Amino acid sequence: MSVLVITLLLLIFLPLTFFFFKNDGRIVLFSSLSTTILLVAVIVESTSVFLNGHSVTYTIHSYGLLGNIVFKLTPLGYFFIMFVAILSLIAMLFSHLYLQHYKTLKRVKYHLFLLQSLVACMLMLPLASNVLVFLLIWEGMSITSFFLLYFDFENIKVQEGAKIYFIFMHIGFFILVVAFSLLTFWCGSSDFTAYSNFFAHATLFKSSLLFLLFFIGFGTKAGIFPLYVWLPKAHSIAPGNVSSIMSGIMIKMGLYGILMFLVIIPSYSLALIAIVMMCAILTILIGAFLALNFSDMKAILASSSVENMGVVALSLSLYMLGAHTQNTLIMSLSFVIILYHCISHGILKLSLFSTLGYVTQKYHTHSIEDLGGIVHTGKINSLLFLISVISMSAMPILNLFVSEFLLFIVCTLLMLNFTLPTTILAVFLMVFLSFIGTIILTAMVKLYATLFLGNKRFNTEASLHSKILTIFLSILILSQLYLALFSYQVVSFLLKFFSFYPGAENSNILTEIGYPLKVVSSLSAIFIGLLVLLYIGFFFLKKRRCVETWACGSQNLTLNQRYTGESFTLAITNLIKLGTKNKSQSDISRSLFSKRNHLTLIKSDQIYGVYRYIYRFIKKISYFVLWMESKNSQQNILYLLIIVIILTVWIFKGAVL
Amino acid sequence: MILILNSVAIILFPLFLPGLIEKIKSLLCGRVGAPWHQSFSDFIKLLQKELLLSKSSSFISNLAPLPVLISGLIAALFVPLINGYSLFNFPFDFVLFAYFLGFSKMMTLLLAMDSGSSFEGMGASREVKFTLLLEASLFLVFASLILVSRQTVLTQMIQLYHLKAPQTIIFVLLLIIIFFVFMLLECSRMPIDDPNTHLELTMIHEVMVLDTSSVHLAFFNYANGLKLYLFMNLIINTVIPQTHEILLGLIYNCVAVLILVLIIAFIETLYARIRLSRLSEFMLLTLIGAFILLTLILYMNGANH
Repeated sequence: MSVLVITLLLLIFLPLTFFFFKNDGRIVLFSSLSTTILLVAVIVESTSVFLNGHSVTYTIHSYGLLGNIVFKLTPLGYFFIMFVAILSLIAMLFSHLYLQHYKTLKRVKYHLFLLQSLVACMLMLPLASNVLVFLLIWEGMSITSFFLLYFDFENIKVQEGAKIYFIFMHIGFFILVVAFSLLTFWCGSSDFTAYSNFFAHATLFKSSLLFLLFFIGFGTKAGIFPLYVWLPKAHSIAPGNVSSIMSGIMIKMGLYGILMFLVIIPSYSLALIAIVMMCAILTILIGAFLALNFSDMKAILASSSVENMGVVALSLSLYMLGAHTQNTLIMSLSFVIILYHCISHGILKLSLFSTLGYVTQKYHTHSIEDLGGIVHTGKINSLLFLISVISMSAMPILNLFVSEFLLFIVCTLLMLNFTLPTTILAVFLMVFLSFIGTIILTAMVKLYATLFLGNKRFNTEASLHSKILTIFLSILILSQLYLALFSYQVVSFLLKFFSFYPGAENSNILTEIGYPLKVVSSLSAIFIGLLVLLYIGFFFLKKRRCVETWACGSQNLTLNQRYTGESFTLAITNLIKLGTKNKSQSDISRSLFSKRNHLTLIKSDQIYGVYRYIYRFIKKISYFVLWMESKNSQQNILYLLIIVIILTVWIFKGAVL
Repeated sequence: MILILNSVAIILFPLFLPGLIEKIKSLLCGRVGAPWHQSFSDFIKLLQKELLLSKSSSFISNLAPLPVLISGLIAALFVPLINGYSLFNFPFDFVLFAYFLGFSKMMTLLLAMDSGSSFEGMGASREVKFTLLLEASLFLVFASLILVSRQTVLTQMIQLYHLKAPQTIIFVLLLIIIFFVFMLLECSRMPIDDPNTHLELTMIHEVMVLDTSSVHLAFFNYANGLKLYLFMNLIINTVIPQTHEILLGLIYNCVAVLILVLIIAFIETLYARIRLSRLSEFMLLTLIGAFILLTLILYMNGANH
């Protein structure tokens, strides 16, 4: 255990040596190598500790400053350490490629230091077993990621996005401080090991209130409604390597926080389940429609992250429903969905964000409408990106479908085994998931088709061709295929983590879903096999000739005649206006023969608009207070007099009455 | 034996059904028309033709027709065909049936956007709107079927002939109508879509494959015919009982398919296509129909309890 903690501390403090290096490519290489070695050490050490069944706690005495700093490895903690370490290891490969572009800049040293500190914080968080240590690491995670967002600090949009991220992270942090203070006060201990016993005997009101606060507080990091709005804003301005780590890995730490309490609370009230489910449904709905509406490629992906975290939140609510009805099958299935979806989404977001990070670095634009035909500049990477896009749309042959399929199974089981309200709820969820599935499919087709397909719409010589990117994407695609083709084995493995928690002993989940999972995996394998065989066969057997695109009689299609992403989604967005508020800015010339007119469509999140109203209201109050304070001394004496009169009346009102 | 017969049916019926509908339509209009096996002849002709690809197209144009074909074939595994048996089934296979159809649609959309043409993009945009409403309605119908049959296997879910209560007649009738509309929508038949007009501004499915030729177009046509046959079988097997007598099952199936072909031909002869702006309302009607179906089954379940 001590080796593990020392390795993590090294991960934070080793980058301090970077400041002695010159500004050249060696620093990036050194950082990538040192991080890789340290992450491998973390994986090996934590696995050996976990497999040997060590329940060792490592305590650092801080001599009254922070109390005893306790690190402990729990089964859930082990899962998240492995998740963060393995994905960070892969992400470092892309980070190396991405930072080559900026290797001579002085800020790269700071960037690398912050990046490694962020990874170290994420690895230390599941080990923390004390409130104060946990909150310190949590804050460290927010601060390092905030400064990482500031990489292109000259850009005004970057400053705005980073500020929004900072504000929302600290709203979440404040809620967490309140929740932990209440918990420590009621429990009488700040040690996490005492909480399991506390929740076993706590009243339903106390446990519900605490869980709700934790759900909102941790949900801010995870991107769950109502405090998700930072996600599209922060991801669209983040450097490519940071956005992939933030979306693929960091937001899952919020999920870890929620899960930490989910598994130790024995029962939930129906009102709490309804609130969590409502938040989940709204997260899915808003995330999906934001992805459909946005034109910023990274904002589309960030919105789809919101939608996916909504799916996880929905599984959380189903777990709670299972706990409420004492149904271990629903509980264990929901638990497996959460973990499976977490891994799948992490891998997918790493591949998608990294590719788009590379695209934005090469083509210097975030708008999908400015680009097109990228496929002609790098076929292999475009194909690998397409596989991730298909997976993101939850299509049957790849990994994200498995968790979607398991969710449909939960809905069907709820429909068959429960009362009328549960049946109606299950039917609603089933229809809702299929509806959202189509929305996400459309958003992903829009993203890929507008960005990659058709004619080239840019004049630069930039290309998507990169061997490191190909290796990086191939590793992630292979992981996705493994998750899809060996879903039964993965689910069995994930189920072991559930077996450590109460209620798992009677679970017969594998007898219920084992066969369908095996069939889904086999069909995926058959599909992929047939596809490869037929493709190779037809590619070599059939002669082909290239001709001009058929334009219904008109000659020479121009680039402006191409269907845009905006018009592709217009059929749906005209039908259902949800997610964004559209505003157009035009500089259309009034003269008769104007040479060039420009129209810009600005889309902003509707919920973010609500927060802006709240912000304005708070601003008005603060101005009022400022106005009150800035008066002369006579007026201050008058305020004092008013307060004295009020106090006198209040004190003597009993005597008068 | 039943498996072999079903496999042959999956291969042959989709190749002949579109031609048969066209022949009956011609006869109803008083024309001789093309022979009944014209669609099969077209398929063979397309396989032999040279493959033309758009200059702006990418590997998607080479790849997309294959997943469309394979997805259709895998979806066909779960649908009960002749004698009421499917080629393969397992619990919760209805999810895979719907998702494989969805995957085939996704690849068609990508193909449409690949050529960089404005017309194909327009078709893709329309298709996606109808898919949105169709998928939701389909799952609503599946949920109703799960509730009425208490089964999770598609083959067992749709066999409702054993229901004896009088109110189930309304349920079955409504289900058949909804499946029939699904069939028209999914397979781009009149009055929803008219592939024969070739008027790009109003086309939906056909405009998406405008730049497709040769073997690729043959695959798309086959996949479309396959979907038609699958939805026909979903309708047929709600009312025709399972049987072990192969010949009897084959006769039942062929007669039922012929009746459905006649109905489609009659509709396509009698009705002009619905105006494009009105199609959403038509789609919403399907959704409302599916809601009524669900309400009915919840009421029936409540009455039984």
